[in-house]
Amino acid sequence: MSSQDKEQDLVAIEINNLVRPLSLFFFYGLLNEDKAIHLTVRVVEYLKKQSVGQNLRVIMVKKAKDLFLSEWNKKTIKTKNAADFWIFPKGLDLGSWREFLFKASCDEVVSLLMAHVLKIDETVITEGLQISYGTHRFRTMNALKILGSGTYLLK
Amino acid sequence: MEYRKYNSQDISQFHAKYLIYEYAINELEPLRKKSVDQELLKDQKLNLELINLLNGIQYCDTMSETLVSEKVVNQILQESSQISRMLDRLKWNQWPVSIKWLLEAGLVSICLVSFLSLVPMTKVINILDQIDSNGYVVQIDRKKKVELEDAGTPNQELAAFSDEEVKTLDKKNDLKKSNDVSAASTKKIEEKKSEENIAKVDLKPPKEVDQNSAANQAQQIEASSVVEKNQRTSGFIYRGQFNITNVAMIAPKIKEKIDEMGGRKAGEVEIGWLKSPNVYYFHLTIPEAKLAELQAMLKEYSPNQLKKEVHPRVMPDGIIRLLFTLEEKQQNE
Repeated sequence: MSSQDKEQDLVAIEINNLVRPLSLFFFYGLLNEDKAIHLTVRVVEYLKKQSVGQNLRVIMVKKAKDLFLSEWNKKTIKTKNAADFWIFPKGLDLGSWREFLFKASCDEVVSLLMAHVLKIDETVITEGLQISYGTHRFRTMNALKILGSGTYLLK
Repeated sequence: MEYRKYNSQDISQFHAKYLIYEYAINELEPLRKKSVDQELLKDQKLNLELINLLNGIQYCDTMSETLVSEKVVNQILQESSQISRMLDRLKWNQWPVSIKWLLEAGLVSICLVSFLSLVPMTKVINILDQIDSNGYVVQIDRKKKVELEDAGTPNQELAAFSDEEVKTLDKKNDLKKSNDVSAASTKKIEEKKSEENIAKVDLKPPKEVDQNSAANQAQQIEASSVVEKNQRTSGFIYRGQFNITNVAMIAPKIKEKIDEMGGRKAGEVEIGWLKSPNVYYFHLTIPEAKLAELQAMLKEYSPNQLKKEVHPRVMPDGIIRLLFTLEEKQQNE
């Protein structure tokens, strides 16, 4: 196999590995199973068009944030069949998360999801969102305070 | 990450507030961490914020354990691959803008033509016409005057159904008024001759009642019959007021005569009820054939006459209603 084919295979594998975090990001951000799948498909297609050698994670963060922002104002919650697509951990109460989504801003939700749910590196996040470390941590801290005030220690 | 060396007493409450996040995620160096610990011992609000942060972090860690089913992953990958294959084959992005617009316009026109050809527009138009045809158009002939039915003399008082007060006429003008009424009725006959083809009635100059009482009486009967034709939709009543000498003796006789004729009381009081001293009230119904006989009897005692007036109360055919009073004649008359 040529090197180009290998690189393309690696890109394909990387894109496949990004499907899960993308679907989680859109589902938890919008709480709409249909939109989560649709937007994930759009990001995946966008990533496939990117040339080889680019940092796909940074591109993914930027594209995901743009699409998320376009759908943020249309808050239509739909989680009827969510259990068919996502396997939730035991004891997770989505009611607290729903309350958090109504109180927090779009930027705070994006920073929190990317940092503490998807566990993406801060460097990638700040580069993709084009913000500084301090801004990202400030937003994450505020989001955690809002979320923490509505939840209780699970363990 | 390297931190500059600092004195542990440099940290303030404000500073600690913004280091609390790094403290929660355990990214503070030991010296700063110690300073924050000391601040936490002093400030309860800071402690609460730390608890909220820890709660939030723990909740997010739980969320991060969410798994995605293979069904979703395969669905996403298949959708993306199908769409990308289609677009790759068409090379849609490489097409010029003008051709893209042409194609879109063509698609819209095809949809419109197919809609118009499939939907039966003639039926829709016919349905709309049927809805419109329910309205009627009436032609009005403005030249033709609308004929109004003559309901009776103007400024006429409408009497109630129960016993009513007899109209009090002016005693001085009693005779003149009766003659005027008869003349007015004859005038009405003249006006309606051409429309109803009634035989002409000889008009005579108004004379004194004593000389032409029979002729006037005949005219009044004819007038009443004409009025009756025009007033088929409403009833009528005969009213009158008679001034009689020694009315206390005469009234019972008249009542007896009325009873013989078959008269019945028409109101609540009996026939010949003593309304007030020397005033006897008669409100009755009799057969129409007996009217002339009654009028002739009343004529023996008083020159006054019964007048026919329109009344909303309709009596059965052949029965008429009368309302008159008998009063003691004054000596001046």
